[in-house]
Amino acid sequence: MRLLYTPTTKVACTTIKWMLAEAEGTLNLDMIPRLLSAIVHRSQTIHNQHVHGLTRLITLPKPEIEEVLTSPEWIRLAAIRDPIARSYSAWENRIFTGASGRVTDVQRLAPDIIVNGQIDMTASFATFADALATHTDCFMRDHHFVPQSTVVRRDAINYDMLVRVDEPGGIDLIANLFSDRSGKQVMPQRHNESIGVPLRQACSQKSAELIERVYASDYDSFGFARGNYPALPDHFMLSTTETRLVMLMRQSVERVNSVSRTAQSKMSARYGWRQVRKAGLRKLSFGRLYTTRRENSL
Amino acid sequence: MRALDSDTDARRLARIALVAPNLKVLYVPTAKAACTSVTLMIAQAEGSYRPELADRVVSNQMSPQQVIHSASVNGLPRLAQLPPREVHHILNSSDWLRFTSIRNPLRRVYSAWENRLLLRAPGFARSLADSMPDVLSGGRLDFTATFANFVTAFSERTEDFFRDHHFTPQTRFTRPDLINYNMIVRVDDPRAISGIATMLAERSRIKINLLPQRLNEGLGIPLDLVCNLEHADLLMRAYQTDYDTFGFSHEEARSTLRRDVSPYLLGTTETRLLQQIRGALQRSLDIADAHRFRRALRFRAMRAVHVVLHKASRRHIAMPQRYM
Repeated sequence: MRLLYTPTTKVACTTIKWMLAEAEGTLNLDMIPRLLSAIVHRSQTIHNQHVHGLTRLITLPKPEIEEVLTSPEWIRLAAIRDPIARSYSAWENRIFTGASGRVTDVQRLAPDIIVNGQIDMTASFATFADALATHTDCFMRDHHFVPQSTVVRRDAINYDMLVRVDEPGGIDLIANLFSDRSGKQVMPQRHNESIGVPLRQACSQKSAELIERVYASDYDSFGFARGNYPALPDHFMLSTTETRLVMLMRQSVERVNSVSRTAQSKMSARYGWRQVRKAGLRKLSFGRLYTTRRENSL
Repeated sequence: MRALDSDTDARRLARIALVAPNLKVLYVPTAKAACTSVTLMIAQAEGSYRPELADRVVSNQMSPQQVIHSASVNGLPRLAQLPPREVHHILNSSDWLRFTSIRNPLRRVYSAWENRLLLRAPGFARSLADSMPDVLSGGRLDFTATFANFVTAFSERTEDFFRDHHFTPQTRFTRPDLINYNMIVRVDDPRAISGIATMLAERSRIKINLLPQRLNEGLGIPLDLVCNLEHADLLMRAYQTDYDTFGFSHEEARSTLRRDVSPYLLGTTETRLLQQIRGALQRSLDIADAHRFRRALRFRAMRAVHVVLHKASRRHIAMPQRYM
């Protein structure tokens, strides 16, 4: 398709990658059930190279990179989103539902606020905003919290299209571009990763100001408008059932992480070597060491 | 008392019955009758609990709490693993406590539906979920109608459901005709778990303060908001043996139910969270399956190499063994 896309986390990058791989014809759905990585949802598996099948810029030879970055035949595309909406989405996905990330500390820094067995979304998000402003460096180790201006480097790449995906028609614009260039009908899919609590019901003016301060570079680079949020919003409480479902969700995510970690470690050479060593010791000790009790017939 | 290899149920019973030699306790864990909580307490009191191994288990458990059912984590031998003389002693000695936990069949099947089918927890019943689709109304899950779909499917294919141990009648699961139980605990009573904790702490050689807590609880939506009298009667009929064996009362559950139940709709957020949980459980299953597949591949490759070496060495290297 002659298209370069810079994926920015929490800016519809899952939806865009699905469309891009589909349009380019590199999508490999057969790989999805074979992945051992700790990806919580099938839709997220698109970020695995074996699934999307797209080439990364860095793997190309230098002259080709030069052509991709400068040729008028190539389209260079990036997507951006209001920083508060993006950080709310990152909080909800990475911290609130506990999806795996590179930095686990961030979950400890922004605990839930629970009142009478119900999660207070407004207070919990306020705790996060406060932690983000206080421990910014810690959060910046996770790419979901990194400012968009450090990912979408307009000084390094001459973007032909910079799409605001939170504005009406933003995603459709990208879908139409992919359809035009590939000759295939590409439609954006909704992946429903959010739990559906509107930002304005969870964010206070104070939280918004703290986040705006952290992402000041995004406001400067892309000219986002600063929003008005209620100074003292009514606290949005999850119901008891919603709170239980959140806890169950976290437990399921924790199991995905644990199963993935163990599965990967058991495929490693070190694990294999340990098994060989155990088998050797079992033989040398005439079965006294590392013997698993077998079922006896009764 | 008949031998435990007398029929299929009995052999299964021997495979699942947990033995705590220090406590001198035999526990038959009944699925959906607080078995996660009770197994954890027994392992803690016995001193065999190894939580550090939980992260090494690649199985389909739904949550970290349920990893207690893995033998490496609870550290408790199963009855089927012991020599016949020891089994005979455990089943007959007055020093041993043989106990199991049971629960009102209607509440148990509701809990099993919620956990195994609504949330799509891993297990055999999951394969039956396609036959009873969710009922959605404006993007919200109609809990009542979805449960009604289950009752219809259950009454048509009862034996298929019974193949999943979460739905198996408790009589078939615990077989009081084979095991001479000293104690059968009804966990519907909120004090029952505390009673088990006290009893285990008394028998334990190690000083332990067991926290009687209910693990693996459901969504907390009361049965009477979801199930009408007609559906309750259908389900109770399927579990009639449990009512006869353990003396559960039909009226106890019926008295709280009504002939007609208004639709109980989950909220949009609740419905989305439910979908996300299903997605995460599916990923967990995919990873566990992929792991098993890759290990099986490695097994086949190693076996092939061994066969080649065996032939190339003119049988100096041994024939591939079954354990390889």
